[in-house]
Amino acid sequence: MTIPERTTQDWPIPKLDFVEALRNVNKWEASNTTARVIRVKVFRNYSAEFIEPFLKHYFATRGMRCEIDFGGFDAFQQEIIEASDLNSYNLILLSLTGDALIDGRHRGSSPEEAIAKISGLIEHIETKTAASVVLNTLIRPLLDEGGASFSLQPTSQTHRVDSYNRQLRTFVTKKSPRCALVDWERIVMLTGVEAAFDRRLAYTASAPFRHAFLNLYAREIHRIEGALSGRTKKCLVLDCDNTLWGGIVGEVGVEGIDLDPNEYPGKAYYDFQRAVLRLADQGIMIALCSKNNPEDVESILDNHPHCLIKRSHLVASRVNWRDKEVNLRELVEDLNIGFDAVVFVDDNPMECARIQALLTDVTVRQVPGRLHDLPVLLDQEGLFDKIGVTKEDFARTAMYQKEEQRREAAKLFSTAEEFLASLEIRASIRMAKDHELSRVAQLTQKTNQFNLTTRKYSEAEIRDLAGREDCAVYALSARDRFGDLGLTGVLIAKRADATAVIDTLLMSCRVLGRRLELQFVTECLRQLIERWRVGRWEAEYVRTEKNRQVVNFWDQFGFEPVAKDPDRILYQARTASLTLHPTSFVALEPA
Amino acid sequence: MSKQLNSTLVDVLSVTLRVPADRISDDFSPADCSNWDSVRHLMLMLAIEDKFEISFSEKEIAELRRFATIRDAVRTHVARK
Repeated sequence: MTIPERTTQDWPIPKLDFVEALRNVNKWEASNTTARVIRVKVFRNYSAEFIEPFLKHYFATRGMRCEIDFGGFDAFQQEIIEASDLNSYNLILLSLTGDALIDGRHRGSSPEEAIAKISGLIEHIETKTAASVVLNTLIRPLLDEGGASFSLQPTSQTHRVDSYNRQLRTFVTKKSPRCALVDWERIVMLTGVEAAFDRRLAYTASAPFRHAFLNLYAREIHRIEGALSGRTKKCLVLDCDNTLWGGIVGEVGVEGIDLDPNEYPGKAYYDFQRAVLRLADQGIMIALCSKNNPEDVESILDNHPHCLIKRSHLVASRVNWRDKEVNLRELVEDLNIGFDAVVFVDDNPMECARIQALLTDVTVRQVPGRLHDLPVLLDQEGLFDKIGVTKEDFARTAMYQKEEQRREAAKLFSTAEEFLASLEIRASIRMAKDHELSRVAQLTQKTNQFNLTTRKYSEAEIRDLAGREDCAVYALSARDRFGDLGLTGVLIAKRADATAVIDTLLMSCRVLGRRLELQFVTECLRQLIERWRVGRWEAEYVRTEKNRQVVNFWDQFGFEPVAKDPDRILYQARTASLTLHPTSFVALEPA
Repeated sequence: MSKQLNSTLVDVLSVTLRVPADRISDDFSPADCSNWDSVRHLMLMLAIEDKFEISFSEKEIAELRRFATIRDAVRTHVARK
């Protein structure tokens, strides 16, 4: 088996025939009637219906059944103001073309006024649903009245659309992740004008867009949803020779590799390294897995004048002569992530095929034969898409490196307690603050192992929970003598009469092994008793493939299992019968 | 070629309008199919244009509402290519 090269043109656009998309979707929906449903509402001022098969197609590729409701034609303002069912949708599209929005001939339609109108509508939507809203930029006229120079005039439509787009970007950035943006002009750049527009139907049926445009629009919406719900990759594992640089260092020596940005193919590798570093900056973990002499690779990372990737960028490294499958298994275990969070890049088709066959959840990408395609290899599919970057994302690599130091330090102590005490752990346990809610949402989406119920929440949903009287969102931040561990624990409780229900309990894997989870839960329970004065407790364990390690977690706190089925254990407790576990080696810091 | 054009067109109608292929006779029209509303009609016209790489006039789009008529129009366009 070989992995075919994915790239056959410079800007590969997924070609999707309308009839084939529709046929596949019909077939898929008929045989996947119980698939997870994602409900989408489209407010629009043009005939947008033809997007349906494309949108359904992309969600089906992720095993989701997409149900789409279209608002009335050009009735979006009234409908948004009057809508009462918006909270039953997972995603809202406010899909508007420019003609009616900003037209110099009408009063009340300047770019500023159009933005004010959009902003007012978003406010309405926000009061009705926690779902995110996807907006779009407008497309500048292809032929401006008065030519290219005239378009510099503030009265030209080009200038007005430009101004609207700029203000919209600022607005959406401020509102992220509640709002997201699709850049329509970029789609036209990719498809070409002829494939994007249908002037004939724009006039006769208010349907200005052709299938090629709607296909890419649907793909962007699907990518945004994936990023919003955190279903993207966490770790990039790279081969070295002929992946990070050209040539085999063991044969040509450090001086002989291709990595010079002033030469080809050196520039292709150099630019690929730049692309990798951009991912690292966003919190993607970078690791090496290659068959080399470690000294050779270290020498390039440390000394080669054009090597941008340094040892400090790596969370882990497996440079040796062992089987790559074994190395990958070890990496995934050390980093505490799933295989499905890993993207593996190698130039060797045999290695790629082997890893894909043995570790089917890993996403494998081969270095393209046309090396000039290498720098954009990781940008095209949205593998690492994300909306917004948290403080923890920036600091992730350093944290994993410190974890390595801690593992070394642990070897010096004879008992676990002695070691833990030596770490001088300090923890802050309190209701999550406003600026922490995006990290809290991210943890609910990404934490798979120490997670009792695995409920995934968007930031908007977390914000909603945190604002409620009958709900408490607790956060754990910790540090030790090696450094800051960041916000790494979440507990969400809901009150129903005299009962407190633990909805969510999770800990990021990188803080496990310190018994912080005991201190965290102990302190949360204490604070909840004080806050709500409840007599009864309920907690739950919902089984997944990855959370076996916490199957008996609630027993130690005095919870009794009252209902057990293969997928779920329901626990109850009385306040008087709770067993708390304060630990002596975790110092609590005031909130 | 003509036979293949016919079966390709039947397939496009069948998938787009969600009706079994054997129900599509020469006289098949919106009267026989509740799915065939104005939006579906446009969808169908665009799907046919994509499939055969042709382009209908606005008049054709408005008037092509019977299977045999659509087939004749497609034939004419394909022959003209």
